[in-house]
Amino acid sequence: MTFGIPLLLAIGTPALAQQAPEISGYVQPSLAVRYLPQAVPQYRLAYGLAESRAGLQFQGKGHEAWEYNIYLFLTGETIDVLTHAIALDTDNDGDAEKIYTRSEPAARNFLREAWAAWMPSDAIRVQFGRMSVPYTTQAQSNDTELLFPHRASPNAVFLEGRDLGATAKMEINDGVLQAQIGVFNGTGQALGLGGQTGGLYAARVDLNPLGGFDRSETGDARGPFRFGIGAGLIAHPYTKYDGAGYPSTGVMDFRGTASVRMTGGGFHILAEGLGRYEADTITHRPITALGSFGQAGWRSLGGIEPVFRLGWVVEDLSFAPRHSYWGEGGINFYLKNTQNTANPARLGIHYVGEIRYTERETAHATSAQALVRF
Amino acid sequence: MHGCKTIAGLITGLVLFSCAPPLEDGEWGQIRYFGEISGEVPMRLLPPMTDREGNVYVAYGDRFRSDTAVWVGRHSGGWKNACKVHRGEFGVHGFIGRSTDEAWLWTGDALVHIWGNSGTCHELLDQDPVTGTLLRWQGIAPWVRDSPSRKTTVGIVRAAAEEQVFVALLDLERELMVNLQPLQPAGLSGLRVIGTGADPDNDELLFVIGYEFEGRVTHEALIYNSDGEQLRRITLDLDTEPDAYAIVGFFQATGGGAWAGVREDGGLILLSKDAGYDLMPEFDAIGLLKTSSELFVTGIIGDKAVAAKVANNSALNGAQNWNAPVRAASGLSGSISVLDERNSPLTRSRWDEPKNAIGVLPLLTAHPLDRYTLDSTGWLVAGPSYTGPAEEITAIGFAPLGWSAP
Repeated sequence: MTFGIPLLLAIGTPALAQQAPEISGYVQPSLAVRYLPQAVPQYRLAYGLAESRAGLQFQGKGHEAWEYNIYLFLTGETIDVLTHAIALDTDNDGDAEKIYTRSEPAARNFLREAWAAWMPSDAIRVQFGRMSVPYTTQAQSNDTELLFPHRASPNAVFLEGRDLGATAKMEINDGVLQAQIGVFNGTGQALGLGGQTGGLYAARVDLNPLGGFDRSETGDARGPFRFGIGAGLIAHPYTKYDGAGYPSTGVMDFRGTASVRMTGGGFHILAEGLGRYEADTITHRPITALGSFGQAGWRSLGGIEPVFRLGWVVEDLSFAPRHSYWGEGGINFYLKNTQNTANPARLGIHYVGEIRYTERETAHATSAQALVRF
Repeated sequence: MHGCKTIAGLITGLVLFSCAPPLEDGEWGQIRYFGEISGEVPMRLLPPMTDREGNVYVAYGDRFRSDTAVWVGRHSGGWKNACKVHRGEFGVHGFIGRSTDEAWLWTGDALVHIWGNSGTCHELLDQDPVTGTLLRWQGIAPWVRDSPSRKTTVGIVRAAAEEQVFVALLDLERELMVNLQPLQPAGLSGLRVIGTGADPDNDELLFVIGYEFEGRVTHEALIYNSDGEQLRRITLDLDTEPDAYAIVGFFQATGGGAWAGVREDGGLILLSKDAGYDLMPEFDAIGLLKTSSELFVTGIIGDKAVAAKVANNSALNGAQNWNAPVRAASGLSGSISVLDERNSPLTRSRWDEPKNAIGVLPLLTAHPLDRYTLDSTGWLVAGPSYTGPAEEITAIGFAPLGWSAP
């Protein structure tokens, strides 16, 4: 199952409302320090600007009923790419005992989002391309509108990144009820699900009794009071293949989430619970995990925003549970700017502590960032 | 067509989701037929180990043979042919740990790394990385501390041509020894490692040794933490002089300070926090069973399986019946469907009257039971056999087996 963006852009009547794209983006330099007390000395302390990133977004209307969006993500973080692998015969017995490898750092820049949206009415929106899966509420927040520099770690354990697919979204009564369904390739997840076939089906419902509100985790101190509850479900049936390429295992991967969020008077509160259950036809050993996080921030009229977050995850619950906890805190400063009142520049300093309770390991990190949007 | 397959997959998954209850006490899960192996029941096989991804590791070997081999079953189905790695006079000791997609086996003097995704094995630290001297791993604790920043264990090592013995922290990821310390007292001779054990909950690693020093034979239990730091040293009072590797499998801990190990003759070595002694129980001791909070010595009386709890002061309580092994053995009667994973694609076949492949009864073993799920372990089942050139060749399959405590 592969969705092609160019083909979808061609659907519909000839464009009448074509206009120049609106270009926006951000630059986020970040100085980070990470301390791992239990690691070997070489890896115990790390610091630098590696977490800096930038984004460039092109969006506009290609037609009166069609919108488009392209979001390029650029980061200073690199991944090591294997460039050489040489077998070594250390004792000259004709057998290779070791493999010498050499790697080079490669940039992790990529196309984060690219989608086209068809809007047959004000209440219905059908979107095709690479985008967030309608599962957790935090995964759908814009990268520049998060309370912290990164999404909550439990969120990343259950679903991260974007995927190729299509969603249909319906809003009733100005967003009092929002319903989304989607179908995706299922390979854009950060849980190592490679070498498989099968679609990913997602659904999410949000109820916002006082009216719809966006998924920004921060915002104006004078914003109206809103609250909402929501739930999401992913069903991902897929087939695994053996080394010879024949189907070997049928897998059903279920993930569920429930969320509560509130905003108003400068407060932004979000809590999400997450669960996963994956079973297959061979092992009789389900993969189960649970997690949750809660975060809160209050933005004053002066543009100062203290923020807090707590998170917890237990992985491998069915055979060897591993518990991890996170505690985060920090302050954001929003700079008054008459040039760009909608997107003020933000300075932030944050701390995150991680306790891998079962693995007897802790980690501490602080970062100072500037977020400049244009 | 693809859509139909997807829908079929969805329905299958939904059925699995709603119809896959945990295995009952003594109940077998899917038997995965992976190979034909020399020998007849009870086979020369260790209880299997699984990694976090669900790859299965099966070790063939015996305490007094040097033909150790390991099969790996992929979590996505299909098995990798046996890889053979062994060095030294003694045979296989046992699995010493696992991680996300790998496991480690101690066999003879060798420490073997097995990669679950490829099924390949290689020997770790067979030579001193600096001098090139051949190393003999005389004792390795059966626990790999696995966390994002490290995969380590502790071992007793000596150079093949030298008498001096060291305790080292083994960095299994970087394949290095660190924090090397000479084993005390300096000048000891005739070192015998009687058994090793691990208590991950309390971060304790155990080495029971015997040696000669100043004309006297001494037996001691050395307890280290996972950083290779010695925590305690306990002098043992043993009536029977144990040979090297007298303990079958590994010592296991109660979690409250006591340890137990089973000798091949059915005798026990029991340790408390400050003393140790040997004991011949009133039943045929065969193995150990560690639950979440208790440790039992397991064995048989007549045709019944029994278990005796080890108290935290190292006293052995009276034996009580344990039904799971007998129930599991009786669950293998009749014709049973097996998934033949020897070749691709996987197919279904049937075995008539399969048998327990390891030991006297299922679950009776001195090796730590792998936690396949919270209420099951992995075990091996023997199918049909035929006469080979040297001995019987027997079909072997892996299966999860549900169990509950006595």
